[in-house]
Amino acid sequence: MSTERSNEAWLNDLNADGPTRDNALRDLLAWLERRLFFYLRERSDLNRLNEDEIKQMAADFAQESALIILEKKGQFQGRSRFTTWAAKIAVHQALGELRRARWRDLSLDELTAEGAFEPHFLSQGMQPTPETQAVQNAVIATVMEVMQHELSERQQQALYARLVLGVPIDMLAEQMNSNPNALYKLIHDARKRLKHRLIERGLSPEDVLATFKD
Amino acid sequence: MSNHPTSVRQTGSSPLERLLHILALTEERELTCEEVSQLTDYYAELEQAGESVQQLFPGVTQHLRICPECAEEYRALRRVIGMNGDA
Ligand SMILES: [Zn+2]
Repeated sequence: MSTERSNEAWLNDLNADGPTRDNALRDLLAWLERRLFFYLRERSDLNRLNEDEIKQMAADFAQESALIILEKKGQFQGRSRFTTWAAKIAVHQALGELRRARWRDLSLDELTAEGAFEPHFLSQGMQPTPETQAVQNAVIATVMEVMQHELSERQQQALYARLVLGVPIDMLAEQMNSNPNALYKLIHDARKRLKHRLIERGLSPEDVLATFKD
Repeated sequence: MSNHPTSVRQTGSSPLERLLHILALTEERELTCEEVSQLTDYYAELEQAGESVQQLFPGVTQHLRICPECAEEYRALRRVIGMNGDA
């Protein structure tokens, strides 16, 4: 088996016809399958699966990824080894599917129904001393003010789902009828707004965190 | 919600500290997941070669610190291409 091909050879072979292409594809599949298997075997959330099941999973992911790789190979710019580029695509595909399986039953309305950024919620688990209590209160007041007056409902919802519930951005985008890029920007704007306001009030996040740790 | 698998609630610090931590890492300009994914194969090989990727691609490093999905995919990529140790 040869993954020793140069980048050029990979592209030539995969673009060729007949046995040359078949061999290259077979090598690529075998390589992806083996590497994905090693990775998946180490994932703690998959340790309920036996070795054969992990092998099958790796084979399926390799198969699906190979199709995407063939489709996208024209976009390969040659900055890395072809196999590294292919691995990146395979990992994105595999992990995307694992996330999808894990968050399959996600209903954002349900998830956010009981929670929101509220003072009581934000301060959960905090053990303020008399000195840090005032800082904590000021931070929470600022956060609440920005939330209520400067952030849209979508921003609040996205921020909560992402930061508090840990909903993956691709799943969240689907739920919110958006796309990951737009959603990233929406949340980024919200983070910047919060950060600016805190800094304006002398509550830079770094400093406040340091205060809490003392 | 309380038994959702990757709820960040399960991690140690309080919601307020987690929010502050994310805000501390927040930059005026950030790369999106898509922009980062254009670079991670290259970034991984540079890291593998011992280059100081944080200096070469600070935007990618920052994104990997702030975005759990890209961070997870990057760790997996490192593993798949045979790099050891933590990202
Ligand atoms: Zn990302």
